[in-house]
Amino acid sequence: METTGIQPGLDSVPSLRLDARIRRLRGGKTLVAGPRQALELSETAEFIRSRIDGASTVRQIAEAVVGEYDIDFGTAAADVLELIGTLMEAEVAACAP
Amino acid sequence: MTADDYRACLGELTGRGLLPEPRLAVFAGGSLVRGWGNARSDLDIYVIAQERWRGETTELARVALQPGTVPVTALYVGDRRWDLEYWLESQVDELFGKVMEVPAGSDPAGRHLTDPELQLLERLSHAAPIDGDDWLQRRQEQRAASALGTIMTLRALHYQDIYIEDAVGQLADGDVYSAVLSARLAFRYAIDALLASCGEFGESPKWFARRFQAACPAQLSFDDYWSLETMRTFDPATPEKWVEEVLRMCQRIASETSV
Repeated sequence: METTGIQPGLDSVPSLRLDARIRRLRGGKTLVAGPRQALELSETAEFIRSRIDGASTVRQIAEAVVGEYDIDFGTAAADVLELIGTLMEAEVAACAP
Repeated sequence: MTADDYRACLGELTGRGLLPEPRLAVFAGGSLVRGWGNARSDLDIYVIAQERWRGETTELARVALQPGTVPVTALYVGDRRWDLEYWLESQVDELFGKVMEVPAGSDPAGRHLTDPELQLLERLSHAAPIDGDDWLQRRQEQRAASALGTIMTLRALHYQDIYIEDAVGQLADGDVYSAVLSARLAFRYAIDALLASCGEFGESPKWFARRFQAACPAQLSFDDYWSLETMRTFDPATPEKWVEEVLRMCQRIASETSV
């Protein structure tokens, strides 16, 4: 069962809330919005967001970031967890433990 | 019908006293012109002039322009019904004024376009000239340079969001039947947005399959679209699963459709 109240870890499985709104703007920027807050995502954040599919773990998403951006796993994992936290705060995403 | 067949309409219309003098253009649009028609399809003809049509009128179509109506005349030529709409040049100018740029502010783009206005804009792109070719070409070029595609995409995404929110709320409340219906509507508008972003838009969902095949969007195959459109994976025992599947697809479409 997913919840917005947990602290995600590497084995957590994030998913977008069904009512999260997404707009892809010409020029490459992506906007996501929950009921009360909208966020503009950087290219890296959008890469991470696009891999939140309700099946992939944080670890798997971080590994994808490593492959795409050639950074160390620790940095990638921290970036993924930070974004997921931001998305959860904005009620765009939720996380299963 | 061939290009010559459409040109031949001029004689029929003139003979019946259904064309104003002077006039700027006459053209045919709609399913027959696009090659989607059948034996029962109407022929939709647009007449553009500087002065209001004062002749025979079957009804007045409401538009959000000045004046607020467009006279319409219906007639039968042989077995086929012809629908003539008489637009003023000033109304067409005003209509284009609404779509040359994406409107600023919070009011959803395209919300104040009535069905007749949308039909005219849609049909301009595939119109068959009957008279006044230069006028038609100029308006087609104007349409191509407008923000119409973006406006229609944003409009559809706005309605998609509304029905997604409805479906989620209804699911949470245990109103699963309503959630299924809301999800269907959300999907309709997701597809509408996707096709509009490819330059294919229209006011009637009955042509979605045709428009999908014409647009051939990279984001979604026709088979995947048709599977959801026909509810192939819907299981009456677990309707909430189908609702979630559809809403996830809507999200995916929104994330891959540029505005």
